Amino acid sequence: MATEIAFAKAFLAQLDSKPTKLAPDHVEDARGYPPTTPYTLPRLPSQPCLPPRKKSIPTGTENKKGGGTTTKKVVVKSARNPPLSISLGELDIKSTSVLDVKMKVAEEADVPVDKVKVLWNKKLVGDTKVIGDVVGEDEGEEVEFGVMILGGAGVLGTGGFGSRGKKGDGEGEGRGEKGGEGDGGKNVVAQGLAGEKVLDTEAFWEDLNGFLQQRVRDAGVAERVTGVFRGAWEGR
Amino acid sequence: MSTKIDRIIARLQKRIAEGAEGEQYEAQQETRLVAARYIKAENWPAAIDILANVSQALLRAGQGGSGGDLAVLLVDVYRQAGIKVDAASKGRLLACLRLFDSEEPTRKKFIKEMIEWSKKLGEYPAGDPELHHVVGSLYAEEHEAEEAERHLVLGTKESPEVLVRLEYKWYKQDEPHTAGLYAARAVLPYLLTGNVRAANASYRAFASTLSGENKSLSVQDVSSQASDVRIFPSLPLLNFLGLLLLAVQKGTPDLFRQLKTKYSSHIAELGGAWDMALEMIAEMYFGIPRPRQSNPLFDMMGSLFGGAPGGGAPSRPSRRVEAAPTAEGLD
Repeated sequence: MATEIAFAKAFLAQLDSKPTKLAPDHVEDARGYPPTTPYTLPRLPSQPCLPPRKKSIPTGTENKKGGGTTTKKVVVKSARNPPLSISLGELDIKSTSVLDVKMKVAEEADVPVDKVKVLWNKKLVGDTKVIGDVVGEDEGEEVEFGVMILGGAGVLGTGGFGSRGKKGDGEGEGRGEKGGEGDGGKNVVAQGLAGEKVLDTEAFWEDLNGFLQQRVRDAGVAERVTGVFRGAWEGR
Repeated sequence: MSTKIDRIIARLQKRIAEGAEGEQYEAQQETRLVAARYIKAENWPAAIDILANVSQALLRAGQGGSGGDLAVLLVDVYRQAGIKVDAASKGRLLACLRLFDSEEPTRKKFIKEMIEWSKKLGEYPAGDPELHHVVGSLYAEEHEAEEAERHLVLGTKESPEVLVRLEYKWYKQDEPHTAGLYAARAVLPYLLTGNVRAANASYRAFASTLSGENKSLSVQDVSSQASDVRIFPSLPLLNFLGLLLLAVQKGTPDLFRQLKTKYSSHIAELGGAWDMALEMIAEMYFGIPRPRQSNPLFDMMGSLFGGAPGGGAPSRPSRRVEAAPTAEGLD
């Protein structure tokens, strides 16, 4: 028993004497993985089986009797740039994904889907989660998500939804294009400027803040960092 | 055009929601016919629209066979049309996936086709990480441990947490001294994909759940100037993993050999279950050539990190996992 600790102590001392070659958070680029099934460990004959568990209620079978539907009223809000408040109505929190929410917001606000970020408790949430995974089931009758439009008000009207029917499909041209034929004045200005003047525009700081929120995954911290950058730049 | 297809979809959805079983089967057949027309005309958006919507309506109504059939056809259309892997195209498939009953036989085929599509038309030859994460999480929830492992190992930053929760649950079915066995089921495969971060995250999560749930379990933090490790005197294999993760960062062969010698009797008790994984790790991280033999699995792992397939040649440096000065992408 004690030898475990003695060995570990001696081993760590050796480790200290060697240079570090690989960071503890090193990740190979998954784009380089071979197209095969990854290696996983074989199961030992002595390993028991996990008791099989059928999904309690397969999502969406609410039509069957007894299956409880879990719908909640979903509202998305953005405090500023542009201020938004969109009610998405009653949604099934077990089958509506965050991506679905994004698509609805994109449609309502007429912006490209990839410019929409959804926040819960000031943190970004990933596309593939369903609402229920994010908020839990007991969160009251109504769910309110934060939402952020990258690029701010400048991208409004560039979603390609505008005059088109509600039923635009995901691959429709225009939706994925950046900036493009946006008619917002800011957009034009941002494209016309170069060099230091870019940093005088509100749009630049909004973009930076958007990037930081995405990278840091914490709206509060991102806001602080943006403030520090901006303060340092303007006070230079 | 789009209003016409909208009308067809709305009518079919209504029939499925209200209809008896025969009606629903007919709705499926009609959808196949309509979709075939659009496919022939290469009107992909319309074909995708009707297949996605009717498939989901059928799955929602508990018609797994019919709905699954159309969902598989939907993936087929994606491939024919060359639809790229993006948020919208994935979202549509995941919406279908979530509606499947876990017992539905067509679900497995759908998952397989979906992953194959993401290999062919996305940037990840092993399949899209987000799709792997969702599929793996689904299997984990259903206690399909080994299926879950195969997907979560190729998943996202969030996958280790799901995988460890599953392994821990599995561990609780087994004897208390087998903790290392279950932690290894996450740690070693992650090391083998070159994902040191996920391997570390898995180890930490497993060890802290273990000590959190077993207050009486003896544990001691051992530290030197630069490193820390939590040692469980009664769980040598778990300690082996903790020390291995530290040694991987240094990458010198003597460290690996010491560890293997020290824990050889415990590893031998596993009847060879870890041997292959450890040989591959020895080569990838410590430059120790694996025993000479041509083995298709080794060749496959060899090609993982840029080495030419064919295997056998000792210590090919390009095969090693090394730090590269690449900035982490936005994710």
